[in-house]
Amino acid sequence: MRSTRRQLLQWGLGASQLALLDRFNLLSGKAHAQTTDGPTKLVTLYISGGYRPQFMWWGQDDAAVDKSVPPPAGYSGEPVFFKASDLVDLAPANGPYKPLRTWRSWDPANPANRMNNFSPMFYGWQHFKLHEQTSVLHGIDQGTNAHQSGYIAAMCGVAGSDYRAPAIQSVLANHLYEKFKSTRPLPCVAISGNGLPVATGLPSHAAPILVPSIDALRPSLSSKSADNPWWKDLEARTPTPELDFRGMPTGSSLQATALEEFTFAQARAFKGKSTARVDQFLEGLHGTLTSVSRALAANVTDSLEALKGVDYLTANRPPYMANYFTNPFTYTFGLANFHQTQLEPPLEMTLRLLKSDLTSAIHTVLPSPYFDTHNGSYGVHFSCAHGRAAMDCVARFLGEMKNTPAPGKPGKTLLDDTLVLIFSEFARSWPSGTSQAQAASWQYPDDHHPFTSVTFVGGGVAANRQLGSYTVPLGGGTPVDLIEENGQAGKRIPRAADMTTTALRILGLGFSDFFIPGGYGEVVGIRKT
Amino acid sequence: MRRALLLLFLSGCTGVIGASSGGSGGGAGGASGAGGGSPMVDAGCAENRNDSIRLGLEQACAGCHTNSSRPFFGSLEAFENGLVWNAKYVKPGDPDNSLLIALLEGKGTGTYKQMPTGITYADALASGKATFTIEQLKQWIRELPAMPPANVGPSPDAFTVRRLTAEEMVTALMDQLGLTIEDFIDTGRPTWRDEPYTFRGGRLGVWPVDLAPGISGQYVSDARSGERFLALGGPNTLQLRGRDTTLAPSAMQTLVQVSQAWCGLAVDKAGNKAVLKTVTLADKSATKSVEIKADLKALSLRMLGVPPTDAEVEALFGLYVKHEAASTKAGWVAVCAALVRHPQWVTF
Repeated sequence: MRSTRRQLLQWGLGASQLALLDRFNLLSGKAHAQTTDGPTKLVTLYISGGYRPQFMWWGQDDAAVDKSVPPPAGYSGEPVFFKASDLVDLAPANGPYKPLRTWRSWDPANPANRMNNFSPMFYGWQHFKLHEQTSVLHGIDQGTNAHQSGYIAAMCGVAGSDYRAPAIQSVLANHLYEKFKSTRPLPCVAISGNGLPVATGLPSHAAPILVPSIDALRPSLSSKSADNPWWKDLEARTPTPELDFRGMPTGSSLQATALEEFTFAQARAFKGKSTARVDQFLEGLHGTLTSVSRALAANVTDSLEALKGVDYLTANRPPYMANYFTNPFTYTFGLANFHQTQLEPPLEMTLRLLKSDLTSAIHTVLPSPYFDTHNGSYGVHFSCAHGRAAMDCVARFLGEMKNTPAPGKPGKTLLDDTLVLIFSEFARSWPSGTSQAQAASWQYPDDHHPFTSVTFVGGGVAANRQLGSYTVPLGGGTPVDLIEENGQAGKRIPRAADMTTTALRILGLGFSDFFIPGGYGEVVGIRKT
Repeated sequence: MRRALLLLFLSGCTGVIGASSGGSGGGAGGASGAGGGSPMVDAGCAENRNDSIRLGLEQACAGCHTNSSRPFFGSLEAFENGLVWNAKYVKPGDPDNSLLIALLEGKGTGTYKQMPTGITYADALASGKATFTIEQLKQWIRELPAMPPANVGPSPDAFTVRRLTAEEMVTALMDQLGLTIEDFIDTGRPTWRDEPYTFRGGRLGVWPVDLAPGISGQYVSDARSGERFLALGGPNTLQLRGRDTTLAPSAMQTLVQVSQAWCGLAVDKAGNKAVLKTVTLADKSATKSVEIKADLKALSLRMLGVPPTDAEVEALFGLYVKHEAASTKAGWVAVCAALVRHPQWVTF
């Protein structure tokens, strides 16, 4: 473990400094116990393809609507776009920050109303009073407008074709590993195999185990022959001391099969036969085999299947959803022009994992809608209607969390104990026109746009704030106040690294608990103080 | 104290190269010291003068030049071998005839006239995305020494293995175990090749997730087969997701299940000699130990591509015997699956 952390820091530090850091035990690799009362879980909700956050949260002056939001129109039976007079605050401002402000697309007299150009989509944020634990950061420079690179920027803070820093989920999982080692056998989890977090330079326990939807759970995570016949006569597990790659006891024990123990020894036998870098790879392989053994032995399938992901929403169906089907994370456009069902499995499984308390970090990919439309006017209409509807499903997910007790934390809700980040890899180019009154003047570009927004929700998040903004009409970022990694105050356009830094600070990590190449700072005003 | 120390070290990176306190690389050991002694070198972050230049340009350039056909900012090694000592871009001692300077000044003559694209280099300097003036870069080129010998050959501490890709794992394992697509697909209809593949239950099929057309030119029906492919680290071309170059627990978690399931299929497949070359499931170690060891030796060679030592054969035999009492099939599946999880199988 030490060698990989050393390698990570070596990207930014010289050898002599490394020696000094080592002397003062800054490279010990041991997770620091969390000392704050902040959240101990992280959920990252990734919306695919590059969305348009300005249709969800309005962080600019109201006057900018006339030149950067197209004239109100329709899409597949849903109203899209809005006037400045349609904007509302979700609650009074919290300090010197712009409050959460959005298009009131719903009927205030009857939020369930889907007639007369009203849409309940996005009302969930109001219904569940999510502003109490939500802040939004706008104008984040992702440093790229390529999908893979932007995704990696959102996940670890640095754009690139490969991870140059570990994914934020892995950073937290590693940080909390020692504290929750005995109670959270799946430190880091991915709900989908698409875009798995990469734990660059961190121990294998920080890398994700795949926990797919409930119907695919047993083939993936069960080592019982009753579930998977290929375990017949191979499933017996016995307690065995855990050894590290060098063959030294770690102090922990494993419940391993004879086959698993054999594979651990196979990897150890190759130590020292090639270069140091190959040994690092083999150490990773050894750790990975151990992590998988531990996950299989934990028999998490039974506990996950015994849980219900959705309890509160079933018993307390929000009245504003009266005119939709009963599944909690679906939506319909028009009479039945479009019916969304793909958000249900990943959000339901995420809730099961949160309620089971088996993990510290969950990365959830929302497979639909996919916003990479590249289709001019259609794409802009699509992103408005589907963006708000998908975010309403997210609001219901958060509503379930807000009304569920946190496991083992009396008086706290699941949302109190979790930081939820909602993001896409980047945004999309902004429409613009002379004014809404001149419909013919509007341009509808639908390409990748490197400045985006991230929504922070949950424990440790300041209530009801929007930070940063966009230049109009081009949609560039604007400066925000930050505390840089060296402790100095700064004011600049936020970057992806600042977003991840702010999230890690909310989760209780100090600046010295992680490292992001290229510099990083915490955006002031998002973390509740 | 600990935090203060770290802040001290990190802040030391900002003296010369602004906020750009890191970057990848550090390879190119032979380049160390090639340009040492310059006041531009930030001993806190950069490994040498070239690295200092790399870090100073990184924010402006790395967004496009970390991968692609010109991945100069992927590492110090890539920067030095691809740009610094590439006469196409940098002519040591002659900045005015170096394409790098021409591009930064907007005087390129090819498809791209200006680097970075969309802004001037002055803009990049003003915004902090670049930290060296054009004149400083010219000075660096004037003083650039010849390419050191160590950069001519491979680095002695180079990474000499890589993990198999998901595609390699799937195709290699099917071939080595004597399995074909028909072992996973419902072939009940004579037209099955012309229809979406239907994976049989309990076979743990794996197939590219991006719905790449199969033999039939149509699409695969089973989303779980694609999910396993992604978990193994496979790419999703349609969503522009690259391959996972690490061997994460999610990949090994899938390989553990797949190795046992597919080895079991191979053992059960009638007439398949991939695992059981000469012996059968009726043969036991008490009477056929020589033959079983011979098959283990052949299986190890088949799976790993190198002849096993006697000690390695004995170890495999020991694993087999541990499971034989329960069933000989379990013994062969254990040995086969162990070889699939072997360091020499998962790497190339």
